[in-house]
Amino acid sequence: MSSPDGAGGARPRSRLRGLAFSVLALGLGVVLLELTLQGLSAFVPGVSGLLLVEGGGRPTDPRRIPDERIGERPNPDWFDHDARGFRNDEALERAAVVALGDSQTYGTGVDGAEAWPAVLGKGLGEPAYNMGFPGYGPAQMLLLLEDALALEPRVVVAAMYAGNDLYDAYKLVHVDRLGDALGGPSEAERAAIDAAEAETSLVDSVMVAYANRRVGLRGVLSRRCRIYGLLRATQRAFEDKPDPAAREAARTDWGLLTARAAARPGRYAAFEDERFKTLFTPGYRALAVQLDDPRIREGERLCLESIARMAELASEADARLVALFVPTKEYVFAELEREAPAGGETYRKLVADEERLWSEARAFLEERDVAIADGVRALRAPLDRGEQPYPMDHDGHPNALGQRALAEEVQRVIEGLGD
Amino acid sequence: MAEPTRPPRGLLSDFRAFLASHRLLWLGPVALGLAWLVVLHLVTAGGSSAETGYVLS
Repeated sequence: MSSPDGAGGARPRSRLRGLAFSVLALGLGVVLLELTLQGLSAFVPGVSGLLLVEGGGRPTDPRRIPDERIGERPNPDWFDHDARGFRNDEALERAAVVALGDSQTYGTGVDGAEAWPAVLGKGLGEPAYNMGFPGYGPAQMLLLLEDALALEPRVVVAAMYAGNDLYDAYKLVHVDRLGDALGGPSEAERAAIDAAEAETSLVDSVMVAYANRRVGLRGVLSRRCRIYGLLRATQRAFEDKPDPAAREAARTDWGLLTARAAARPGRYAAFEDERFKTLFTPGYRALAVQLDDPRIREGERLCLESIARMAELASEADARLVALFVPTKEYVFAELEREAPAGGETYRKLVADEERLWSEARAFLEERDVAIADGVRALRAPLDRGEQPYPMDHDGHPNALGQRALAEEVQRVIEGLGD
Repeated sequence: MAEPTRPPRGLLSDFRAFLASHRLLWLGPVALGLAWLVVLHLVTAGGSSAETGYVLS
């Protein structure tokens, strides 16, 4: 029975209000925490390293720092980078040869001294300067050319990698809106690009295939929310970390590697014949070189136009430009894979697209009198001798032997240039 | 004698008063979060920055 003064009704109402206030106060605390973490991660590198991720959901790569002109550039503070940030013993003032390229030139997976530009310098007996960096491609190289020519080289080598340079060039110009000096695509091409992008974001597709990037609400939270970053860092801090021996085994134990491939058939394909064993990543590579996608096609145009423009600018500075074709591991193994099929339809599509890319690139550059160093031939030669130019795991970068093969090919072309 | 009547207050000023008297509720998450950040920083200090794992790029 309710009391005549209504006091019995007021108490539950005030309890409800107290509960609502408590929830609101807690919410306010969470918002304040998020704002504090946002502020800290913007100004304190240690905090941003802990809370932020790159697109792939991996920790922020400490080797790179933001750059207005080119998006990202190498970090001069990284242990084997020079004062400019590039991977050399010292920031040379003059160099006979300057190498521009991506991680294949930087030498991901090998020591700096084993990367092809360093091996080339030794072979030529002249200083060679490595300006390669993971994520760069011909469109980025064009933006860096002025810095390269400042070293007064007689040769600039521009290494174009089939595995992601077309995608990187498209992303730089059309997504990051940098490096638009090459003119836009035709109206029809523009419309095709917009239509394809409206259907699926190329960047999202590549990042999902590349590194399982989260998409949707969880993806937005993962990239934007610092409390989410704090929880992720907590999970990472307490998960089991493999010791060095286990990590080495994960790269070289074929049993473990084939088990990994079997568990992720969409991501890896295990190749094995009497002489060689390695993992392929055909899904990601095929996506980044699919020439029937208008965005990748545009990336190809940007890459080739960039190399042609670099050749002109180098010539004006009395330097010669050599274009080095760096194939994917999948393409290098293509003939052997035909004998011992491993990659399926996606692999065959990748090989067909890459075949077309190198054929079109060769025709385009030969017409403009640009010297070509053929990395395909160079990297297939060790296979003929029974030597494997790539590691056994899914790494698509040449090992020290593969890097040497690339260096020897570039040296052969440079020595044939004459004066 | 008539009981003194409390002047009517708006919801917002009530909430302000609630926040003032329950500081732990909203300062707690901030303090806990920041303390946890320091712990994580110490736990992961000298960690695997060299292990970037960027083998696909």
